[in-house]
Amino acid sequence: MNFVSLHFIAFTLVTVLAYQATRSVTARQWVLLIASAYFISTYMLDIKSALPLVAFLGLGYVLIVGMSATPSRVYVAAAVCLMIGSFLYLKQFFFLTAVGLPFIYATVGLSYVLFRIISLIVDLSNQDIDGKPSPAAYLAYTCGFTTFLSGPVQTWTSFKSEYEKPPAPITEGEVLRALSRIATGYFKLAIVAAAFDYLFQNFSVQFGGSAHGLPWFKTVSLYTVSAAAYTGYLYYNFSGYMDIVIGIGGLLQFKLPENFNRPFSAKSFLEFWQRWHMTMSQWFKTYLFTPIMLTTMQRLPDPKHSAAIGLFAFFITFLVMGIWHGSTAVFVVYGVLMAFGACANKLWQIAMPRALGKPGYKSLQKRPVYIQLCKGLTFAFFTLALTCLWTPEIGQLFGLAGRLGLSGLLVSLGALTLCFAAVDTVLAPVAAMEFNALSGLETRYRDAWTVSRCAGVILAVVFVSAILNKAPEFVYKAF
Amino acid sequence: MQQNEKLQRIFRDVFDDPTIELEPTMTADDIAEWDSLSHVRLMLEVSKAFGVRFSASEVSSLNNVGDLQALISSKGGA
Repeated sequence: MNFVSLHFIAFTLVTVLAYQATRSVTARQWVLLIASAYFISTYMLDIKSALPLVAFLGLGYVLIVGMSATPSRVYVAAAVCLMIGSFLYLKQFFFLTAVGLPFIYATVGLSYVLFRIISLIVDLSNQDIDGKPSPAAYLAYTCGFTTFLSGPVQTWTSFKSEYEKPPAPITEGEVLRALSRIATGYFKLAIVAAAFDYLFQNFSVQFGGSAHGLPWFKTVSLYTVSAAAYTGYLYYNFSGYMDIVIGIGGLLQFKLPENFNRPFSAKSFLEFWQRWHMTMSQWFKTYLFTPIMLTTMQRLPDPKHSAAIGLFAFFITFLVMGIWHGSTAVFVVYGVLMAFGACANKLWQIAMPRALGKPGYKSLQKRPVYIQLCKGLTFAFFTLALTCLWTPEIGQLFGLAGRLGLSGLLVSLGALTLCFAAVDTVLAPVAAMEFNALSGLETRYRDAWTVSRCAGVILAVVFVSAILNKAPEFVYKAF
Repeated sequence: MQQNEKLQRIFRDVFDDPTIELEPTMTADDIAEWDSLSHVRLMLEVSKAFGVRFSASEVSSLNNVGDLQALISSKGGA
């Protein structure tokens, strides 16, 4: 089901009306379940193509129900490994392509279902959550239509409090806030992201495929612009989708966690990952990074080992996070790049206070030029690493890297760093001024402003879709 | 030794800063050295000093010093 379609809008409207028509918690839970089942069914070709997802969910539930009150570590480790193994098999990771199932099936949403099942298994074993979920609650948690495709990855505790809370009549303010959020999402997804995608498609086609006779500098320039356009496309597409689902959650009075917090204002790569796809980063921090750190630090308690242990934990976490994004060998390269970025960032943070002294480093961190260059480098590195997401074949990626060469990549990195730093220096204060000036007016004329915005966005979406001659798709559901 | 006093001593040791004065609202943003690495070390030192165990979820979900104080109390840390 395309998010920019009458089908999706009608589906949302019917779901919200049915949900709000009742004041029974159980009836609302059934509305969510039926809506989610319908939503997921639109991604399935037939009943057979849904069977792997059903089996995956069933396996997860059997493992959860089979847990004793104090399960052994072996059981928990085996359960987690079994879920990860099934996931790798169903997603057909590149090293498993020879042993796949003999029919076509859907894997959409599987990555996020895996996150939720693992968190339930681990949290239950640590007694961080009370009691096992009922089958209905388990399905609503793992397959809720607002979070099924690409998160946000809500914790069970947060989900449960929303799922079981007593219904209250929805207020006009809640409706307006939710509609405003949905309008923002559609604006980002269907207009801004679509424009970036248009730029990306038009520039990337000029140096890809058969265009091998181009001068080196032109190739580097076209690559740099394409890569920047793809980053803009991915960000506005993904954060727009998040705005839409969080807004729909608002109409259902079901609070979902935020997933983005101005990621390109990050002054380092590690800070960037606290602002981009935040719920996924938090998941990896909780269920991979922290356990690695705790286990290793308990064995090597001397503080002099902290930095090495930290680098090891960062490397593993970012490598796995990168590989998780896709099933081809390209994503191993993406994972290595992510791990390299995280480790280089941490090493810099360790080395600089030693080189300059703590006061010297603190003083450097406050300098505007240093801040802008750090922001620019973070954007540039992430942008170049994202090349893995738009060159799905490893040969294609290495071919492109070969044509650019190390010098081309460095020129691209430098150009993106400086351009981003310059643009951010100009735009960040302007954006803040506009926001302050408009926020007063927005509060005063909130209702009229929200309705006008929604109407404007609908018109703009129709207009832009007609010009571009296609309805924008949600890109992250492929990962 | 009071819980807060003991906790303050651990913070000062881990972050190597004898001037730290703990407040329940204090977060990682208030102490420059409080990053994800030192946070795990901090939690291990707290675990040792108060005789309690923390799960990875608990280690990752704390928002401020007040949350940590409440968590230690809920586990009967002494």
